[in-house]
Amino acid sequence: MKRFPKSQAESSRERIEDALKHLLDCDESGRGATLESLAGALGKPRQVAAEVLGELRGRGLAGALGDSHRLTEDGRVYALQVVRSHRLYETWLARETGTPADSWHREAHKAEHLMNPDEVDALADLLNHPRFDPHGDPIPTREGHLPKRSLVSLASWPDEEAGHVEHIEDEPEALFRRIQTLGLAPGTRLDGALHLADGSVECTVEGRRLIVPSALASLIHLERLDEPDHRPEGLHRLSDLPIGGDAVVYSLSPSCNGAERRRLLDLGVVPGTRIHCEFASPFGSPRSYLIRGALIALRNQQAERILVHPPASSPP
Amino acid sequence: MKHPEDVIRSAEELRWQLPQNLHDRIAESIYGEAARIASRSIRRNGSSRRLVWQQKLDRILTHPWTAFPIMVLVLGVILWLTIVGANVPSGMLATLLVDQGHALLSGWFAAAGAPVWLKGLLVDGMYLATAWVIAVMLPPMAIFFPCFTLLEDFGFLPRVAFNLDRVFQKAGAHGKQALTMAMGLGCNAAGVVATRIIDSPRERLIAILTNNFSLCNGRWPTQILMAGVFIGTLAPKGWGGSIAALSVLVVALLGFGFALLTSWLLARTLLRGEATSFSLELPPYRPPNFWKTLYTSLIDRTLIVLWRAVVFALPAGAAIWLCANVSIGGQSAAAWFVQFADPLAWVMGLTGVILLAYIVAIPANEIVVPTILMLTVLVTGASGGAGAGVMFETDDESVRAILTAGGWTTLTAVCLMLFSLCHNPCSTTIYTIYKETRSFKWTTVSVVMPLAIGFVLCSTVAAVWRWLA
Amino acid sequence: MNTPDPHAPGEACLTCPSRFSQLRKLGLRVGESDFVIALAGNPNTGKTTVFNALTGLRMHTGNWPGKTISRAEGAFSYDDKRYKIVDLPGTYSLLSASPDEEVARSFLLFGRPDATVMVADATCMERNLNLILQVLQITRRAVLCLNLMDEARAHGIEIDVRNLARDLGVPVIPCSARSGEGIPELLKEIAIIATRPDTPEPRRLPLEVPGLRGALDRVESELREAFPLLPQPRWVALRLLEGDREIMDAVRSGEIGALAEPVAIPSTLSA
Repeated sequence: MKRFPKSQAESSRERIEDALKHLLDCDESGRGATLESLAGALGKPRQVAAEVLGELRGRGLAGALGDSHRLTEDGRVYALQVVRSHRLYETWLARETGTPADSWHREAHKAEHLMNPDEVDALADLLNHPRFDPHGDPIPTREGHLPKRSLVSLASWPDEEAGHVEHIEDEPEALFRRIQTLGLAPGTRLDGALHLADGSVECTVEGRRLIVPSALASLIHLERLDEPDHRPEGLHRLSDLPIGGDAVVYSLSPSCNGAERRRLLDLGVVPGTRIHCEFASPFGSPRSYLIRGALIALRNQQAERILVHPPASSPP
Repeated sequence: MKHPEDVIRSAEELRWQLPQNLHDRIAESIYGEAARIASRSIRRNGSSRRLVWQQKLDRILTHPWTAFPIMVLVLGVILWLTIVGANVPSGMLATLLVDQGHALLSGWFAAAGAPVWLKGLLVDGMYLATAWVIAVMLPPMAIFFPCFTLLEDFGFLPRVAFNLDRVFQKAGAHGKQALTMAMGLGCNAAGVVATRIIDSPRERLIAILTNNFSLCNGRWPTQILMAGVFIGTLAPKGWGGSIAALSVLVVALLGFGFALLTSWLLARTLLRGEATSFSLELPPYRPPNFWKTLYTSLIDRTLIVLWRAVVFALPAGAAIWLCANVSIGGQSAAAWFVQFADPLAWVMGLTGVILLAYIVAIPANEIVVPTILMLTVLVTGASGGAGAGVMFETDDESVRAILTAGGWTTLTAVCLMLFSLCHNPCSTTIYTIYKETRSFKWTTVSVVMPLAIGFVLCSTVAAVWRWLA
Repeated sequence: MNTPDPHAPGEACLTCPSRFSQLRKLGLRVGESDFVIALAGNPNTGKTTVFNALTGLRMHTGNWPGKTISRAEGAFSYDDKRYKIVDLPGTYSLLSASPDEEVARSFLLFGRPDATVMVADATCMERNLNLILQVLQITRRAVLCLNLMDEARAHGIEIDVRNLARDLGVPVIPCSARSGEGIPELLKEIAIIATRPDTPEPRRLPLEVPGLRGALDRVESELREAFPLLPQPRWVALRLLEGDREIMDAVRSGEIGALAEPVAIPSTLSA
């Protein structure tokens, strides 16, 4: 993606598209967008927001409904395309580049205004038409289809209820980074939530008990399990397996994706595979594991993303 | 009849009805089928674990206390074998090719009444340069390569990568870079090609840019000669070979340190990013077939490398002879350059002759030492040479005598060893880097970066040395 | 869509232009060979040793995975026929998008080798079978070379070769390429497969994924309509459902139709 100095036209495009996204956000959440809310979202004075709204109306992308402003059908289609490029670009950054997670949003925010529809489609093609971005948000289709979901934040999640992480807010960046280091990603299963007095939430994530501070809990959104599943006893991570120990793979963590996930699957790390931990390198990581007859070295960060259970609880 | 577009469209529609983790499920069911087939036809008697001796060996080779000493020791022993073992055959080859061969050819040319310039260009230039390269390079390479190949066949290298992965990860690089650096010990161009085993483009680029810090076969002779002539002679009698091997080992390890340091710097500046995953299969140890390995490594590597050196030495020999014998304004071209480069060289603890030699030797590092010797003879007019631009002597004592007459000290030798480690890659490697990266920018970085490091390093060492002395 | 083969099936292979232009596009110097053989297998299973044993070349083999980086080619003669053999990069699977796997996959599919030698490490067959099953979905003009049998014996592993061959539907030859054990038998089997006039149906995999069978059936039947003679419609259907861009392009451009042309057999053999 080449970047040129911002021209007048480009910065105006950026403003229009950001305004559209804000209106879409408001429409989705059912609250109306006002001049104030738009000015806040753009980080610009009211006067600028008013100009932008004027242009949106002029182009038939938005209309007024009482005090609030709503997207027209055209406006919605346009807004969804901007969201589509943003989420696709984030997916590309996450899967194909080594870009740190906390800069995905920033980079994608720049790129979304620079891509043309063909480039967006080519990106979707390249990524094999992903349905969800790395934050767990659905990616609108080329036709502008975006499924609706009912999500509950971890802060108001009922105690002891099991759920899947479905969405993680990527702003503010510093907090998003902390969520990442906790090992939470869309698709991660969360069990046994317990609200503590200070607003933080204690819960079990992939065999580990951890405490999510209240500042982070409100950024994590969950969905109930469709059907209760039975997780085997003693589920833990491969990295916690002692040297000389045996375990059976239960699943790969959802936070392990892209090329890394494919490589592990190719190596035979699939549910039901028996793994024996052989020895560690002088620094403790990587360690070597006997997987389907071959000795494979994996770093501890990778082994953390492999969920295993003791061999006894299922037939080998 | 269905149109292909229709087929693709219906596949795209159907994909939305399939589970999101389709790829996982497919991989799982293929492995499931594989396990079913295997269980029907394959029976294991006794434990399914690895052989006991392999387990024990792995434990020793990866143990926190023994892993690193063993790795250093193995490299040290190979260097020692190379240096000590190459001495005698090198001397014999030198007597045969340089002393007797040169005299014989000179005789023939004189008898045929050939003009002096023709004899000078062909015999004193091209023939001598080539003879020198063969005498200096063939014996060490014939020892070093088979030793290295035996280690490779045995399955030692993946363990090295395994042990060092953590270090490389800290530097923001990939553990398999250790494998590519090991390949670079033979030839940097081969090392650069071997970086294809690294999947992540960012980490692969780091591995390409830092491969030059693996001392390649073209630079071993420089290291070995300098260590033998200047550093080995400082040691008590009988210890020369070991001390020389030790000093070369130190330079090689220094190169490893530089590779890590530059990887770390690159990962924090030009090539920012996160360390990706690492999965490396550690194959079982396989006792190598000694004679077969010896044969293939002699044919495949030693002779090919030697051939390349000879191809480059022939024209370089001519160039050196011309440099030394074509005079401009009463002084040879070489002398002009040496005079011009001397101040810069002094700062770096080197001599102008060395800098000129490095320019002549860009096509192939192998000919650096012969060029230096020949030019030194020319500039100082030291005895032992057969006139301007003729290289002659090859035994340590007379080499030392020639170089000392050229104003060399131990500092010069140390700085030359360091500069030989840290300078631009040879032309073949530069071309390979361009082919692999398809980028002028990164190729330029790969040339300029080691040169800059070499300049700073040599200047610092020279300054400190002079201040202490 | 699918142009009928201009050559009678009995005509010599060398004059069959579409196939050889395809091979040249894959970078293969076809030269004077009668048959093209592919060598596929996991990394570090001794493929290069088998390659050397077959060709008499002495490529260096290192004991580390990924040693054969680029594709190596060699040639040998057997029974008055010349064979070109291509050593593909070692891969664990053919499902992913890594460059190595793409090279191996395209060669097996578009290069249409007359025979594929699958080299497996007899000491860890389960892992190797993963790749073998994937190769057999593309072609069954294949032979399984069970390499490193000497090591397997040292590990106390017993392999019921006949049972395995029946399960896989291809011949299985136990070998120990380093000592040359089994190489004559392998050569004989390669010759039989390469000269075989018919193309057996690729092996099917039971893929237990909800909804996949129905989807596969539908795409497969549509593919059969578009390209009636395509030898491996089910595999191509699976790749389309997985969104493999290379295969999608090949379907879109009709290039995949070239695969539908029957492989011509030299007249002396098919007579």
